[in-house]
Amino acid sequence: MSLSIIIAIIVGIFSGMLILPPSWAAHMDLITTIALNILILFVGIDLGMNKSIFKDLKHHGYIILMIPTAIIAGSLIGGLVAGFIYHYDYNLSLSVGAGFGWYSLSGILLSKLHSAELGAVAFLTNVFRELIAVVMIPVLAKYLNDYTAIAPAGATSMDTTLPLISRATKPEIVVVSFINGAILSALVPILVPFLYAL
Amino acid sequence: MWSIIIVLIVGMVIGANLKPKDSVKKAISKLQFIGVMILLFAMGAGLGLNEDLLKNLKSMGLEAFTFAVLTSALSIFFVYMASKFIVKERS
Repeated sequence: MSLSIIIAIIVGIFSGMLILPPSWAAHMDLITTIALNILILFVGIDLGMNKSIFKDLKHHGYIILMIPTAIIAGSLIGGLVAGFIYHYDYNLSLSVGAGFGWYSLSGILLSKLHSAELGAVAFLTNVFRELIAVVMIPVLAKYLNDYTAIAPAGATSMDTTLPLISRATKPEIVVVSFINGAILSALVPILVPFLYAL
Repeated sequence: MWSIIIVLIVGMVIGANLKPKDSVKKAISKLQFIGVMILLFAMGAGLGLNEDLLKNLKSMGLEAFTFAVLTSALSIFFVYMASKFIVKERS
């Protein structure tokens, strides 16, 4: 699985750079959206067939909230450390970290709040974060545990990386992952401007 | 975000009415694999077609990569620590 993931992305990137005409960018967006919706439908079918998940979910209780909390802490501290290396002001470092992998939104927010350059850093940071998540999810699920596989995905754990988490883990984890993604996605447009204003 | 929730719920309703046969599960798993490959290819192609992104990659790529690695690594670390606590609580 991991190898096919890496190959699919690399073939995609090089096709985009070298083969596909520039006018296809919009088509790629559409294909991504369609593929994603079909995949989420299958994730739903998987969940629907497992009638015991919602019973299992009760065991999780407040633990469900510990995961987004841990991801927020990790992302903000990670942002601070990275910003320290490159001499960023601490509020800028924090607001880049608070994108949680949602590159389109964090890029737009920070280019409006601060500058096109910071917006580009936030965009690229969160693109890389999504790529890291895509590659690491199966590895983390195999060698650490299912909860940890959600960590690099951040806000994307409810959409683009959810199909991967679904393949790598158990149905009950998919529900935890979705809730995590929903919480973090809701926080991005609040936390990025808040941390920037510090 | 809402379209995803709706699609997910539609899927769950379909799934709840399907007989959970192994043949169905196998077929779904195959289709999911193909879908993931298409998704990742299209995401990669979207990035490769993005000229602004490629331009910025040269000047800011290393900075952004550092941010991405550190935020991911520390998120992994904290969630792993939290999951150890979860396992302990349960037993």
